[in-house]
Amino acid sequence: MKLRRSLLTLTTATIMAVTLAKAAQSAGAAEPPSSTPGALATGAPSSTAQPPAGVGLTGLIQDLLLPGSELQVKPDPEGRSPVVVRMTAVRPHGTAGFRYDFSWFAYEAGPHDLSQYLERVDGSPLGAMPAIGVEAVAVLPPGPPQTLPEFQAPLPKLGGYRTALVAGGCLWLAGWVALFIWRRPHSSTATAVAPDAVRPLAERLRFLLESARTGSLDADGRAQLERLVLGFWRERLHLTDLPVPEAVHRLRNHPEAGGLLREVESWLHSGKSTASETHMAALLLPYLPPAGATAPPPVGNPAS
Amino acid sequence: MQRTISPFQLMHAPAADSFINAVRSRISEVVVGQDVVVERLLVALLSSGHILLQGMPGLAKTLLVDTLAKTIELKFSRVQFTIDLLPSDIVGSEILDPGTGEFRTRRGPIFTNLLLADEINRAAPKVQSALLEAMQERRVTIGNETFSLPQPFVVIATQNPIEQSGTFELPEAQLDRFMLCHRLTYPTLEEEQEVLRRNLSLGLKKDADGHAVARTEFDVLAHAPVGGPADLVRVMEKVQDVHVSETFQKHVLALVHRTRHHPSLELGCSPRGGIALTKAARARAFLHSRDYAVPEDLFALAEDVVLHRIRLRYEALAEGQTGASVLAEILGEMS
Repeated sequence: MKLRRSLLTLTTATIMAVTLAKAAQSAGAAEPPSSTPGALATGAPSSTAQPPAGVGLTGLIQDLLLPGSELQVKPDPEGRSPVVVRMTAVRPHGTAGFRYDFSWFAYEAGPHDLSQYLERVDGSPLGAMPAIGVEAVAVLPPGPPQTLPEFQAPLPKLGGYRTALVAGGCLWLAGWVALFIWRRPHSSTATAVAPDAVRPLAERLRFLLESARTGSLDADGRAQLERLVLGFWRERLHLTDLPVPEAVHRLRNHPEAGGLLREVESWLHSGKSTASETHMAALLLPYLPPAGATAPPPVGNPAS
Repeated sequence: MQRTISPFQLMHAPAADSFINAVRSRISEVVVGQDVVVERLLVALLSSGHILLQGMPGLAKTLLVDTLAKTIELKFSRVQFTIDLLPSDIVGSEILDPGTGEFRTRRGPIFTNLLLADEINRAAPKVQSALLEAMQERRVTIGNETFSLPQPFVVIATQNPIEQSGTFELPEAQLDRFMLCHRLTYPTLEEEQEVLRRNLSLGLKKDADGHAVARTEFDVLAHAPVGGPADLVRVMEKVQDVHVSETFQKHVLALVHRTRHHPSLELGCSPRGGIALTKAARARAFLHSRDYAVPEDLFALAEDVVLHRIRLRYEALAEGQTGASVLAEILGEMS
């Protein structure tokens, strides 16, 4: 209750102030306002004057002896008082009166008399109450500020938790898409090793055999031709599901393909073969399907 | 897991040389099956290459190598690699002779023709490095003196699967020193039954005092060799005469090139791998009674020569690919 009565009003300000002793306004004042314990407020300037206090900052007056019955702070329900006064302690001082501790702060610069904001607890008139002079001094020049500080607009609000979740999910999906797109060129490099792989095996084989027939096959071409012959027979005899070493072994021992493959091997690897490329091409070409055919020829010697 | 052996693996044509046939016959008297391993050992021996055997214990690796050494009358040493093994335990060291007050060289077990390095991945890397250096240079330095190793000198190393605890994985640079890395599989049911039958009929071994102990497979090894180092050298000279055509070399280069540019592979086959594949194919051609190498030799040896020289990318591992599957894909593209 005491606290409610002590708080008067509030306004906004950012300035500094100085607390000064003010000359006593009444002749009956015994002592000037002072923080010295035991001093009696007289309203006269005192050597123990309070240091400057800022407007909006709290000033303290301690152990101020005021005559008469006990005092309290007047209530200010409308909050228009330029000074806020709070009585923090009250102590009796024999028959001379009471000693008070005050804290105050001002909303307006200039001299103020805190006694105007006090009243008797018992409702009797104040009587010859000495002035309690304080002064608040402003640091800023009077009047409204000429330039206002630039106002930084807050970031726009993007949404709540759900929006953040959706955005995070979209980013996660986008990451996967980017990873997928990034990996596609890598997988294409696998096919770049063997660009001829896009052409049907029989067609590539036919091309190499035609080159052999014209005698224009180099060592690389011969090696490729041999590998294609193996691949062709693996497909034709349905051995593609077997491991390559086992499939090649079976091909070499196959009654139809074996003799042909061994002849090719002898031609390419023995270093003693007298067979010409033309002869080998003529030997192999009949096994190929006709150009443009989609299905491989049936197993069996086409010559028979 | 029981695996069946394919007809391809069972097939081995009699070699043109009677010495090789005699060696194979003698080994088959002691070791049941393992025809492919025997062939790979002979390939390494005839090509002066080293071989790494990878597989579980109890597959007669030691017995096989011991039999091969006794059959050809080669010096044989076996070193069990352990974590506390030191390089000097293999290479040798200088010891102080108290009598003369001088240092004397003690040669290690590496001074032999056939060295079985058992469980090589259990030794510390510095021991592996000491052995692999000797494998490459075929000489060792003890103190201030350099010694040449006996000829032929072939290291047959074994290792357990990498995921077993207490092992040090051989780095790629050291694996590359091995011409072949063969992965052993369990014998077929029929072969394993034959192993049991032979083992049950071994009987007891008695000494002069009347004591007895159960005989093992090592006790039945015949000490009469079918040939000697001179025969081996003669066969090695024949292998040198096997023709390797330019077309075959193109096949090898195509395989090696594809391993280096495959998107799933971080490390492809080294030039040493290509050399090893060519040399091994030449020896295999000789063992199959041919005087020229053919693509079948390349395809048959590709796994043993190439697989331990390639390394998968992390992305390929994450996709569940294996080195064998990538190699199979490459071989499939080639043929």
